Amino acid sequence: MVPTEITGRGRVYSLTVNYQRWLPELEVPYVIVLVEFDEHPGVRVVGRLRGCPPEAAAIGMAVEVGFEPGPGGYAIPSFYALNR
Amino acid sequence: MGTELLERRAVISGVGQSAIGRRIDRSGFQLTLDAILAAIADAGLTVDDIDGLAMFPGGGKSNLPGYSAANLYEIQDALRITTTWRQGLVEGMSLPFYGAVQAVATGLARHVVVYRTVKEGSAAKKAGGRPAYGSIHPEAEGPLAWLLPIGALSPVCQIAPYAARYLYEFGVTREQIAWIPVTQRKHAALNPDAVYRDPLTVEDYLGSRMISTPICLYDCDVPVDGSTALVISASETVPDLRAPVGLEAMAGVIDGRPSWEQWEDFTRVGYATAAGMWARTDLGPEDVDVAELYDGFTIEAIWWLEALGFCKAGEAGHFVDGGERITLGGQLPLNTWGGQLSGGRLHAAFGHTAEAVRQLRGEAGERQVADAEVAVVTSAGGFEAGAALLTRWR
Repeated sequence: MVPTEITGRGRVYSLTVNYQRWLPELEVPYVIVLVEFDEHPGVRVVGRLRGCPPEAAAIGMAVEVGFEPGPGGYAIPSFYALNR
Repeated sequence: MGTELLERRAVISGVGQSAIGRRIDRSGFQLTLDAILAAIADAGLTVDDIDGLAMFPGGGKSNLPGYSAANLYEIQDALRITTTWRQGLVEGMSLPFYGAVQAVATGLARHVVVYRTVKEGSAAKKAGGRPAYGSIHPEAEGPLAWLLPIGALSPVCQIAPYAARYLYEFGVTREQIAWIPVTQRKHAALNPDAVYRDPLTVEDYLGSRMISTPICLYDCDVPVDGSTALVISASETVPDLRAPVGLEAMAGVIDGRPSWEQWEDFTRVGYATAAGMWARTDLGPEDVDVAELYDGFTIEAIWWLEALGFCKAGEAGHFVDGGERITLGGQLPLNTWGGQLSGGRLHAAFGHTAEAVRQLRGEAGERQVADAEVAVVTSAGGFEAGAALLTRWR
């Protein structure tokens, strides 16, 4: 098993806009996207979507990968909407 | 079918349930014993006849508060029985009776009690709402490591992208799928043990608050307190039994990647399990009189309608539209007890199996499907998926 680096643009396979405040300090709504990459078939990466209002998020839209600070000092994959 | 299948050497002999409600002021232990004693009496047996015990999930393992509310050894101790076979699973075949059937078919036990007890109604009250994954798992590990950091804090967030992709690919509308919760509520009105019995309309559904798009409040099952017990018996004990129900076929196949986000096609779930089940019987979808299909969320019942071949891929919206095909007197009465959406989240198809047994015995009261001879039961949705065909005993 060897890790594979994934680069380049992705495409949203599916998504959900979460409105439920599951934890007291959770800010809602937020968008969870499952992203596929043309050059790396058979793998999806999950993350939040940034750079567009939640209601503009759509299946098939192009996104670019990024990271943001998460709990415990870890970086969390996150995606930015392109051409919006 | 030339050789005798394993499942034909077993029958479902008893079903029993505790009180079921949003909050029941009895412990998980008490609820479990209520259900077990009722199931044993229902089978026409006595406690001393029981020599096997199984629960789901095992090990006290719990991913959400109230998810698993009784311990197998405490239950055996309370019953003062001797067991020759026991099982408690977390990962494994999702049908409640899968292991018990193997045990009685192979002679490891004769009469196995299988139970599932939830206190999720009380847990939700304590948490001030439906609990999140993160509320009892402060550190992300295993599959949760991919969920918690991005805010996928509930099963709703996992299932929602499946529903979104399904609606997108097939052009099925929320107005169409609303007929599943609406019709099941109509059935619940005929079930005195159902949790929600007041009428629900398509307008109520469309006007309800969104939890995680496209899943709204009425697409989610209702957390409850309650216990269901089944008795699975070896078929040679049939002369001792009050009203056994036959097991025609059962299957549980994982053919893709067992991962919520890597599963290959979000619009096709349960197909391999359904095919596995049909391969073990000469019966087909047209022979089914009543369908008790897992409905933790509305979309799961839709998957099963298509996977089992009651309609083609993408046609379930049309199939359920208006509710006529899926109600009593229709082509395929669906979740006649109200399902988990209105009857209560008894989970892992325990509620569905109990109802199928009652229908096949003609003991379903006002909601009885006339002359029901074949029932299909499914459990869960997603990569872990079980399906069974139950038949009236002749």
